[in-house]
Amino acid sequence: MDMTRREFIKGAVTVGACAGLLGGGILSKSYAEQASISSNITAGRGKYIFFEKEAMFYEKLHEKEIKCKLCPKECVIGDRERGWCGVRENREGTYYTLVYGNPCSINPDPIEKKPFFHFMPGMLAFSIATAGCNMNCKFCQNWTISQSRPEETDNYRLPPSAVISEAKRCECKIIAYTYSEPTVFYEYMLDTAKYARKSGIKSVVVTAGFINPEPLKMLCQNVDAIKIDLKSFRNDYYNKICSAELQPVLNSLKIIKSMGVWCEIVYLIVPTLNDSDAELRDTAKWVYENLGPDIPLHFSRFYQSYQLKLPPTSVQRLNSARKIAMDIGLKYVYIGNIAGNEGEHTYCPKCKKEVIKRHVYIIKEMNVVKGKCKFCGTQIPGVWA
Amino acid sequence: MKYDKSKREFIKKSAGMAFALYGMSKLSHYIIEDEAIAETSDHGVIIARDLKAIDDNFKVNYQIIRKMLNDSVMKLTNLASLEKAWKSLFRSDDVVGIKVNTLSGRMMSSHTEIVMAIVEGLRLASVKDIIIWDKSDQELIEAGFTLNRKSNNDPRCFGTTPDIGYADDISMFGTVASKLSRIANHCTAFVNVPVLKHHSMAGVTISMKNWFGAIHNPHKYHFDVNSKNKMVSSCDYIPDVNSLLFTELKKRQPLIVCDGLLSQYDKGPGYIPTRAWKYSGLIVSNDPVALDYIGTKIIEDKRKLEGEKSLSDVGRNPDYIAIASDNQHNLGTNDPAKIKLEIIGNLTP
Repeated sequence: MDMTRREFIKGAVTVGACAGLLGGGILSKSYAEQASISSNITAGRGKYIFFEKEAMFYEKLHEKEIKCKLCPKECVIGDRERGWCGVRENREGTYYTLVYGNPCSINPDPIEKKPFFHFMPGMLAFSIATAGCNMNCKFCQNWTISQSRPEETDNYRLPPSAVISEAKRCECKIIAYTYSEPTVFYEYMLDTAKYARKSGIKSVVVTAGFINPEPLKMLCQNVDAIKIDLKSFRNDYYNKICSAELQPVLNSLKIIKSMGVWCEIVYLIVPTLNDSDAELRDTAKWVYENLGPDIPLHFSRFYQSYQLKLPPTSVQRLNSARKIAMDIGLKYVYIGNIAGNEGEHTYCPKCKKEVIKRHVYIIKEMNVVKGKCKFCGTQIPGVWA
Repeated sequence: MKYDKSKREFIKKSAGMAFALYGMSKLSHYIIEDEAIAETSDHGVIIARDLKAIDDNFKVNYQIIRKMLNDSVMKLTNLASLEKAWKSLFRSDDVVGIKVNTLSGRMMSSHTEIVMAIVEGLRLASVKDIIIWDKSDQELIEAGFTLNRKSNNDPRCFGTTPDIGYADDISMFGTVASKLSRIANHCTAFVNVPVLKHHSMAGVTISMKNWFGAIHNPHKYHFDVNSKNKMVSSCDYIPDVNSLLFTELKKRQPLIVCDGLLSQYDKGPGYIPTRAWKYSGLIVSNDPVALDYIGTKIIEDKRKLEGEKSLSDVGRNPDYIAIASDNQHNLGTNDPAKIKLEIIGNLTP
């Protein structure tokens, strides 16, 4: 049974409330409400830049110019100017990140919301984001923060050590760097991930993967999973719709695979723009050939947002996309942003039984035991504990 | 009769009057008893220069600046009365935003003395509500301005601070989709006070580029992501931001006073002392395209004099100036035959 958007939202709210009960009431209130009860970190919340830290990955040029080497845009920036991301600024020839310790969004979310379906299912991820993005997707759901500068968002004063303590207080064993684009708050993410690892907390990154190889490799050494939003398999789409390029993202996927970090892919199917059979087939084929059959691929439903005024992706298109990818040989292909679809569940590739049954973000049945199918013993790839 | 007509009526009447006055005046002025508003540009550009306007210690002579400005405004409007000249540009009930450029600290930002002279002129036009503004309070302070949020007799002065912020929704024109500063939204007319300087990505930053300070996401419009070599200098971004303001949102920019007291011919927009020079001038117009065209010529001449390559040779020719004059934007003219350039002032040391 497939659901309408209204039913989906209704379901998601219900699940949120249910998960709140399961998670000690965490999801039943906003983080700010929660925090005000037991912490004073919201007291100083506002449109402030609390910390300024010298950025990593840049080159000093002559006469106060710098070249940013964090992402493939490699902005050359004059004194007092900012990079394309809007959160890194050249001051007298030194490059600063303005979002270190300044998240504007904080929420404990189910890990399934990221979505990660093969990474510690059912757990809560303490999710943080700052302002800024190095892309400009015309369908961005979070454009009010991703396309803003840090002085325009309501920020928390939350250095890495405080992220860890807040995550623990919310009983989250995972920290997710998400919502906007964590590449642009790289230094904050990296330091937090290092702290987290020492504290026994895992780190997951939800990113478009538009990042240069060197910083990505360093990141891979310090985080536990990365979800890549593969926007399309056409460079023209990346150019026109996302203000970015395809090849660096494909390179990132290969690096993540080679570094042994758990990876899942989301592909948002936008009607008429990236939804042809040929493009979906090309995508699945590339993933199969370069990353293997075990990597989860999520086809996600588009809903109108920001600058793109198009109807939602049809359920039929989502289902057929899933079939195309599975016919290529991918074993774990999901459908997202729509509840009640058979593509929500994980199936054992051998016995075909449902090994994880989901509804929106909630786990209804868990038949993976010690990483294996409970029914036939087949290994299910992922990080399960 | 006070100005209380709708814009359509205003334009209609303006056209009629312009026809009636054709041949009597070079400017398309619309006179409603004691208030006259220049609705269209005659592509006049006035360069006022005086070597005594700024001394070797960068101290600005206010009396000289004020004279340079007022002479320019009278030349521009073709009116011999200073009061009538200012009144021909602004209505008494206008909320006038003086958009300064304060990115580059005390030295390479709009001079406070020029702004003071503009405020005096606006007072002659009986304008009561004046806001001196830019992106941030901090940059205004660093440029020498004193913040003032109170609605008293003095002009207000503040940046698009977080508590003021930007519009909730984006506005779009061509290639840009941006939220506009609430200050810009609030104002009915602007005096644009850019600085004459080089920009490493745009080629030059003069009057049109100054409006990047009015949107929430200027960082998105410095180069074309589809081609790393295509910088904002040859993109539609700058004309589109201007069209967003002046076509889409129907704001008015009756006066542009470009600060060329201390200018920079290379390595802008940050202040590099070795690349700055005392041009000792103001460039005044109500045609942003014509002004930017003339300003670019001045910068190019200086580059040549200093042995620098031309902007074209370094791949930063400001093609956006020509784009701004096309049919899609129609923001002014870059045709030297149509630009009415006048140079006034005293260049004796």
